[in-house]
Amino acid sequence: MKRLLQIEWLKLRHYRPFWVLGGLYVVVITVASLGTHFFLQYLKSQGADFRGIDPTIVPFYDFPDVWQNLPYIATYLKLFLAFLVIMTICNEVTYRTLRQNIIDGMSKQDWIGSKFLLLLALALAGTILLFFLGLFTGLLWGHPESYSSIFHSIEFLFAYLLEVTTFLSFALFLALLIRRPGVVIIGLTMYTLVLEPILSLILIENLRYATDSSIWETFFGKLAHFFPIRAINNLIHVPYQRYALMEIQDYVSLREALIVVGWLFLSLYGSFWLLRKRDL
Amino acid sequence: MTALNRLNFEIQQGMVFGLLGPNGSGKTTTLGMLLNVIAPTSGTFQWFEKPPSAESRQQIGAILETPCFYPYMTAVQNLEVIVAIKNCALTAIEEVLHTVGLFERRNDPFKTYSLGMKQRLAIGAALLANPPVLILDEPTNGLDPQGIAEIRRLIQDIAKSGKTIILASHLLDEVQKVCTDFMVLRKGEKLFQGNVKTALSDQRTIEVSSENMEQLQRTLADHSGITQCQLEAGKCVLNVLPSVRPIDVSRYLFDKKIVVTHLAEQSGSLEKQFLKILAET
Repeated sequence: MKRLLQIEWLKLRHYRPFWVLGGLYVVVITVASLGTHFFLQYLKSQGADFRGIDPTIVPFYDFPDVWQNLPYIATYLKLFLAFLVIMTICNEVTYRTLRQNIIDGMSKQDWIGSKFLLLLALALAGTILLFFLGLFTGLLWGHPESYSSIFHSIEFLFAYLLEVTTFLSFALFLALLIRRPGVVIIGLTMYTLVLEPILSLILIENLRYATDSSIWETFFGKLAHFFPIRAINNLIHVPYQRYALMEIQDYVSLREALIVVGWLFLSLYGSFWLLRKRDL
Repeated sequence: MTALNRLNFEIQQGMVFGLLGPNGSGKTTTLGMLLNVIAPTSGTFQWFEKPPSAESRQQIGAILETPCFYPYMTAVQNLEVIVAIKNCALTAIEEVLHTVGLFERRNDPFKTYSLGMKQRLAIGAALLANPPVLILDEPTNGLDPQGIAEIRRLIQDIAKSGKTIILASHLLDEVQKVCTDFMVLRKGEKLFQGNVKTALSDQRTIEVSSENMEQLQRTLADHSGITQCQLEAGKCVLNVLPSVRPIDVSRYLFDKKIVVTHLAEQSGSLEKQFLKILAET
């Protein structure tokens, strides 16, 4: 395992987009995490109030809320990491270094394994960053009485790790399948941000409000929960309505996590299957 | 489409084995299968008398077609990746860079290299783990005459060190100059396999001329060691048994009181042999 990680590190160390996209991810997550505090202060200075409540007393950074709030902010930022994964994988195909790696003595399992370890390392780095950001902002701006539940709901960090690992594995599979970085990057971005959210919203809302839904409406309405992006992004539910005193799901559901694990295995197995089936 | 059909061969340790054939005859496909990057529809093979594995590939240095490296990385950085894959010593990097004459340019990005340098780096990479077997697919493709000569000298030096080399090429004189054994492929089928020296001695001829060609030809036809005697451009071209040397011909004619004005031995070329093989099948 150390050897596989070392191989990936040697390849990435000198790859400028790795530092650019990785840096962008770190900076944007940090700015967004810290920025909410200043955004709420700005709202206050503009005289905004939430039904008579001062925006700065919104307990955004209180433990354990912060463990759900920060990973949720980071939901779409994982696209930066996905771009990096797509670019490196497509490079391996176009430079034919994938083939040369196999010729030089990696097995195909080794190769997928090394890429998976890379994705895991990226996701882990993001998770650790969020842990420190949560700890730092929670202690700095959270209400002191919340310190007693400091590591309560820390499961959201594990959910984030699973979320990013699965999304990046999905990107790995698409990159190996399509092999053109531009197509995959634009396609995945459109699908993640526009296509699937709209489609699943239509299907799910249609089922919710239909008085007598047909068997197909029911089927697709339920199926929408299994769509990859819906499943991955829904692992951590939107937390912000709670500050408008609405009820939210403030835990990680095992059922939803299992769907994501399913996508993780499907993506990895699919990638391996492509590699085994194709002439390189 | 069938790229290869019931191909069967064995390569002994220490051979410099030439894989000959026109473009599209299945040379790269054959090597790709042996290196697990092309999946055969059926058939098996072994390396080192064992079923193939990633470990056996670590014991093989191979380039298939074009040199494949990370363009944004330097020679040293690229070789570091291969060292990690092959589990060999980092110190080997400096050594192979000297061997292939790239030490001075070791810290320049691969993308700045000329084709010849890329090809040499690929051979260097293949040599990294000091493997007992080297596979070189068209190693002189696209090089200028000087580059070709350099690579050939490199291959001959490596061959002298006792390594087994498999060299695929469509260049006949390349195989003739470098290889001990060869196999001819056409449309995925084996046409011929044999020893280069034997094939060349089959093609050996002796040329003779004298003032009276008719008499000469009649006399030579009586010699038991001469299998064929043809008149070509004012010379008698003799196909002879392997035991017959030019001095034997000279002695024989001297005894018959014929004065020779020209006597030369022509070694055969693989090209002639190759054309003969293609014509026969």
